[in-house]
Amino acid sequence: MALLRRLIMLATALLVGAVLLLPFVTPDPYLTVFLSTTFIYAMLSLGLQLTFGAAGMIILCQAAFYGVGAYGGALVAARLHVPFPLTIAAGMVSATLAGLVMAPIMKLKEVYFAMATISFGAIVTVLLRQLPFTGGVNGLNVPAAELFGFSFRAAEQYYYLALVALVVQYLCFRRLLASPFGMCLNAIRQNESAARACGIPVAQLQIKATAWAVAAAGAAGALMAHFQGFIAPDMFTTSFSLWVLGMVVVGGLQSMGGALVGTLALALVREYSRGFKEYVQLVYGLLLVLFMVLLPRGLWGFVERIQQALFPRHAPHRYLKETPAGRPPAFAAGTPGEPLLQTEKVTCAFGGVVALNAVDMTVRRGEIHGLIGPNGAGKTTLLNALSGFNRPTRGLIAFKGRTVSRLPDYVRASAGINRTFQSPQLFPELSVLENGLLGYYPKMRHSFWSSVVDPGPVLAEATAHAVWALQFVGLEGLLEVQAGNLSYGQKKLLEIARVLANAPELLLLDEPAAGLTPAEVTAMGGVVRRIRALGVTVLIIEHNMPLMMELCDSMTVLHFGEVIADGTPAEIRAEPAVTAAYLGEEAAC
Amino acid sequence: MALQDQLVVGLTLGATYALIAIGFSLVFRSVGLLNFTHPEFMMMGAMVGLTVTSRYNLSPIFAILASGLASGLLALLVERTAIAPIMKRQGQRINQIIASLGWATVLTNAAMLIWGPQPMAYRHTFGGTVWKIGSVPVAAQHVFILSSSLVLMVALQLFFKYTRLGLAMRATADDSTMALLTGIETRHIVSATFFLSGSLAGMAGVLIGSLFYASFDLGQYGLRALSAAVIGGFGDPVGAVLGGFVLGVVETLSGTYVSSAYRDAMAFAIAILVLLVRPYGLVGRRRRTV
Amino acid sequence: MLKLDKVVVGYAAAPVLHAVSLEINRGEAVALIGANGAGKTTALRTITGLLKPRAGRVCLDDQDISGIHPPKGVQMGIAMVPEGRRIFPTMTVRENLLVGAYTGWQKRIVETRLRRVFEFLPRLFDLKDRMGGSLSGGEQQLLALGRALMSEPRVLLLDEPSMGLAPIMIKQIFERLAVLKQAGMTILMVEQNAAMALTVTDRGYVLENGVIVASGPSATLLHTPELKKAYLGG
Repeated sequence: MALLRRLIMLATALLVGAVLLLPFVTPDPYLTVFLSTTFIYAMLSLGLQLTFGAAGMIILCQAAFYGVGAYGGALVAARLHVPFPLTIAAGMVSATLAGLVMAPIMKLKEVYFAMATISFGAIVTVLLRQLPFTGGVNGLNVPAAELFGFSFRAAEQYYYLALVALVVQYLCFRRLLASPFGMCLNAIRQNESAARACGIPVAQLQIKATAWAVAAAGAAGALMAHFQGFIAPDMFTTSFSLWVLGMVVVGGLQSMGGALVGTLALALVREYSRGFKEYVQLVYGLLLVLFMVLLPRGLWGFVERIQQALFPRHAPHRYLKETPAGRPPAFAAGTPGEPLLQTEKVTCAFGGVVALNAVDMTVRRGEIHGLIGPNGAGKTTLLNALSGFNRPTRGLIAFKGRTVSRLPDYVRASAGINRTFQSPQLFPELSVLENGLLGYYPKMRHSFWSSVVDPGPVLAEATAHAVWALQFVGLEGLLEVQAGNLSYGQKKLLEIARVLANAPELLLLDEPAAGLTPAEVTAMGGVVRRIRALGVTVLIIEHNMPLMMELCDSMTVLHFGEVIADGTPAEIRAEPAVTAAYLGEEAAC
Repeated sequence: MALQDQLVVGLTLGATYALIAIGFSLVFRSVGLLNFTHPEFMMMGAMVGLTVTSRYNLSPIFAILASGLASGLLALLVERTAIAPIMKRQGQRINQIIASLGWATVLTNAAMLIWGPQPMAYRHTFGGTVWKIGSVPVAAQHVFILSSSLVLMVALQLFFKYTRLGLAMRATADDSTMALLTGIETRHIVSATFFLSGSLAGMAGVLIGSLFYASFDLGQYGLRALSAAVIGGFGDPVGAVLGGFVLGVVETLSGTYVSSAYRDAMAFAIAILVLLVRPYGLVGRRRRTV
Repeated sequence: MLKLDKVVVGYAAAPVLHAVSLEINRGEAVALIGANGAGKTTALRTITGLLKPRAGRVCLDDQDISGIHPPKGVQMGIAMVPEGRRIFPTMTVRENLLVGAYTGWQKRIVETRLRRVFEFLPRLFDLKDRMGGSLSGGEQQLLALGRALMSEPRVLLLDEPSMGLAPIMIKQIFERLAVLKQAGMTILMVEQNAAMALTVTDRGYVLENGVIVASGPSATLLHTPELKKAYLGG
C-alpha cells in the first residue's frame, strides 16, 4: 500500500514536471498548441463546474460569454494597443457585463432557465454577426499579446500564459468550491428548500457563482483571441456551449479535477478523430448519451475512489485539520412569557380554496406551543406562512414586535425563525457534519478572503457549533456519514441539529414525530424539552396526541382553516368542539 | 412586399413552427422533459422527405407520411435508449436533457454523413403556381403548407378527444400516478407520446424543407420553433399553436420593418421576454410537477 | 374477498404498517379509521400495488396480489377513489369518466356504463361538459367516485372521501355510498372522520401508529374508549 502511494506520488510529480517542461522537450510542436488550446478550454469548463456542476444551474450559453470576452479583448487590443493584462481584463469586464444582462433570467426555474440561456446564447451569436464593429461574419484579426514592448508570438509563450492562468483559476476555484460558499452552492443544487430554510440567499449566491464563471470565460476568450490571432462568430455557437457542457459531464460533476479530466478527454477525442472528422460529432454525441445513462458520475468517479482508498482523509474537511470540540452558539435571551410571535387575522387563499381564515395566534417566549387539527386543517399552511415559504393573502405576522409578513423565507431564517419540514429536507450528498454546518450559515462571517484564500477560521467556528448541535441530538457518532444514508429517524434528528446550530429564537417543527418508532418518539420528546431548556421557543405541529398533551404548555386547534380552540392541553382535551372536529359530531356525545 | 403577402408568409411560417412546437410541448407536459433532440426529428423529416420526393419521385403527401413514420421511430429510439433508462434509475431530469442533447448531436452528424453537407432543394411540385384568394395572391406552395398543417392540427385534436389512446395520453400528462390507478399503462403511453411528437416534427420537416431547403443543420430553425412553445406556454399544445403563429408573423414583419439582419434573433428575444414577464406563456398555467 | 395478512410496509428500520391484518368480505362495507399518520393511506396504496409489502400478503379472492402492477389490479376489479380526488383537471367530466373505463373499452359497453353512472350520480350529467379543474371539491368527489365506478369494480377503495368537503356535501357522498353498499358493492373506506365512516359501514378497524388497536361492528366501535385514545391520547 505504502509502495503504491509512493508510486502514485512519483507519477504525479513526473506529470507535473512534464507539463512544466513540455514545450522544450517535445519533438512535436503541435502538441504545445494542442495543450495550450486545451488549457484555455479548461478555463471554461472550470467555470461551468462551479455554476452547473456545483450549483446545478443549467447554463447552456457559456460560448456567449467566451465570445463576448474574446471580442472585448480583441477590440481593445486592436483599437487601443494596450498591454495584454488590460486586454484580458477588458475581456473579463465585457463578459461580466453580458452576464449582468442575463441576471434577470436567474429567477427562472430549471427548464425555463435552460431555455432562456439557449435563447440568450443564440441572440449573442446573431449580435456578433451583425453588429457593425465586430467585423461581421468574416471575423476579426487580433494582434498578438503585448507587454512593455514584448510581443507574444511563439506558441511556447502562450503555453505558459495559458498554464499560469489555468493554474491560478484552478487553485482559486478549488478553494471556492471547498469554502462555505461552495458548500452552499452544492446545497442549493441538492435541495433548494432546505437551503432557504438555512437562511441561504439562493439567488444572490447563484449570481455570484455565475459572475465568477463568466469572468473566467471572458478571460479565456481574450486569451484565445490573442493566441489564435483571429476570431469569428461561428466559433461561439450553441454547439460549442454544448461541447463545454460535455467536458464537465464526462469529467464528473462537482469536482474541479473532474473538469480538467473531462476537458482533456474530449480534446483528445476531437484530436484523434481528425482522420474521421465527419464522425467526431457522432462519437461525441454517443459519449454524452452513454455517460448520462451509465456513468452519471463521470470519469472522476474512478479517480476519487482510488484517492479515497490510497489517501484516506481523516480530517473533517480539506481545510480543517481536526474536528473542533463542540461549542454552543449564543442563544438569545428575553423575558419568558412575553409574546414572541403573533398572527393577526392571517388568511391564505389559493385559487378559491381558503386554507386559512383569519387566524389569530400568540406564541409566548419560552413555551412549547402545539398546533393541532384534523388532516387538511391548514396547519402546515400556517407554518409555511410563519416561516415565509408562503405569503398570506391577508393579515399580519409579527415577530418580536416587528412585522415580518413581507420578509422572504431565507431572511426569516437568518432572523431567528427556523423550521423543519414534514418530510426531512436534507442535503443528501453532504455528510452529517456538513449538513449541520450549513445551518450556521446566517452567522458565518463571510469575506472574499475566507472564500478564496483561507476558509479555515470560518469553517472551524461553524464546525464547532455544528458538532455541539449534533451532540445535542445524539448524532455525534455519525459525523462522516452521508446524510442520504441515514435512517428516517436519524434524518429527522439531523434536520433539528441543523436548525439548532443557528441558535434560533423560534423553532417551528412540522410533525417531528411522524414516522418514528415509539422509542424514537420518546427520544424526540426529550430533545424538544431540552431545546426549550435552552431558552428556545417552539411551535410544534403534531398528530401524536399523547406526546402533545405531555409536551405542550399551550395549544391552538385548527379546523377547516379556522381556530376553534386555544388554551392549555387540559382545556383542549375537555373542549367538545375539538372532539367533534376529530371524531365527528356523534362521537362527541 | 405588401402587408397581406407578408401576413401570408408569416402565417405559413407560423404553421410550421406550430407543428414543431406542439410535439415539444406534448413531451414536456407528459414527462416534464425539455427534449432537445426534437429539432433534429424535424430535420430528419426534411431529409427523408427530400429522398422520397427527389430520389423516388413520389408525391409530397407520401413524403409527409414517410417522414412522420421515420421521425416517430427515431423519437421512440431516443426515448427507449436515453430517457427511459434514466427515469428507471430515478436519475435527474438534467441527465435526460443532456442525453437528449447528445442524441441531437448524433442525429445531426448522421444526417451529414448520409446526405452530405450541402443544402438541397426540394423539387418544386408546385412550380411556383400562384392563386388568388380575393385580391391577395397566394403561392400554391404556401396554401399546401398551411392546409396540411391545419389538417394535422385538426387531426391531432380529434385524436386527443375521441380516441382511447388520446384520452390516455391526456390523463397521463395530467396525473400519471392517477392514470396508473385507472388502469393505464403509463410506460407505453410515454413511448407513444414520444412517437407522436417525433412524428409531428418529421411531418413539419417536410413542409419546412419544401419551403426553404433540406440540410443537416436545419435543426437551428427548429430551435426557434421551441421558442414558439415557450411563447405560447410550455406544455400546452394550444399554446404551442398560438405561439407558432405569433412567432411566424412577428418574425416576418420585424424582418421587413425592423431589420432583416436581426430577424433571426427575434424569436429568442421574444422567448426571453415572455419567460420573464409571463413564465407560463400566453395561455399556459402553472402545472403541478408530477 | 380482500385480505391483508400480517402486512409490513415501510422502511426497514421504521415500518409504517406493523403486521397489519384485516379482512373485507364480499358485499361488506368496512371502515379503516385512525388519526393522521397512522398508516391508513399506506394500507390503501399497498392494496393497489403502488407499494410492495416487506412481509405479509395482500390477497384478492385468495390470490396473492402483493405489489401487483396497478393497472393489473384495476383489471382484476380494484378501483380507487384517491385522497384529494385527483380528477384530471384538463379533461371534461365526461372524459374523466371515460378514462375510468379504460380497461374495458368497447363502445357499447362504455356507453352503457356511462349512462348508469349518470343515473346514479345525476349531478355529473348536469356537469358533463365542464372542465374537471373548474369543479368544486364536492363535485370533484362525485366525479372521482363516478370514475372509479366506470371500471365496474368488485372492490371500491375510498381514501378520506370527506376531507375538505362541506358537511352537506359529505352527507350527499355518504348517502350515495350507502346506496352502493345496499346494491352489494364491497367497500373499504379510509377515513379520519370516524363518526361518518362508521355510520355507513358494517365493520371497522382502528389503526394507530401502524397497528390495529381495535376492530368490530361499526355501531359499537364508535363508543369504545380505544377510539378516543387513538385520536386524542389517553
